Amino acid sequence: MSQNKYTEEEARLLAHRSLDEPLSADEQVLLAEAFTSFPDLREEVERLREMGQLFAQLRPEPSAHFAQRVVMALPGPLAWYRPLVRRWSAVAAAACIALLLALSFIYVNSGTLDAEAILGLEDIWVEDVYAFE
Amino acid sequence: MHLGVEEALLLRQADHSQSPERAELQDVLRSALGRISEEYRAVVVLRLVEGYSVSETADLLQIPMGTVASRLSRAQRELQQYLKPILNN
Repeated sequence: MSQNKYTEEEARLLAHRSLDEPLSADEQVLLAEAFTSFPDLREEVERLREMGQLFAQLRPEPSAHFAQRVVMALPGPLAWYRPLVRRWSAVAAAACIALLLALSFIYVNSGTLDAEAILGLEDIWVEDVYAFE
Repeated sequence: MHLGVEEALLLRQADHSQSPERAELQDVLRSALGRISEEYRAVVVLRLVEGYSVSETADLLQIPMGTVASRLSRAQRELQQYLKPILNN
């Protein structure tokens, strides 16, 4: 037992991290050793993976928006926006890309990013008011 | 009823959101969540329901990552007892 490079707590943390992200080659070796040293850990990881699938798919919040309220109640000055960041990060990224593309299009066509160019008013003259009369 | 995870996932994939089987599974999970302590429940909800990583959960709850892992470990042991009807084995 004294041959273990890792304590059980460190091994557990590594095992749990393996559920979140790919481990480096060195970490994978350490995890394999940890599974040998602590056989129950492998079963624990499998059970967590299984439960994780079940919970994520069925989302059994004790009541409506429970998870959001949990996150909102967390300490920290910026806790209120965490659920939004998590849920809408992809939407926000897409909106930024769309905005950049639109500005690029305007710049290519107008050669400027003035407010008039953005609003499409740069080629409008007073005389245009009478154009359709 | 003894549904395994695969069956539970198939129910989800088939979008039987109003099916009695799905509602029953949710009830079992909800009941199990209600029977564990609040500090375990917070970790389970963040890790397993919301999908936050160990480090994100530790950051959110302002506890060490090792504590997140140990709480989740104990929580899953308790949950396992309550979820025997729907987990494999």
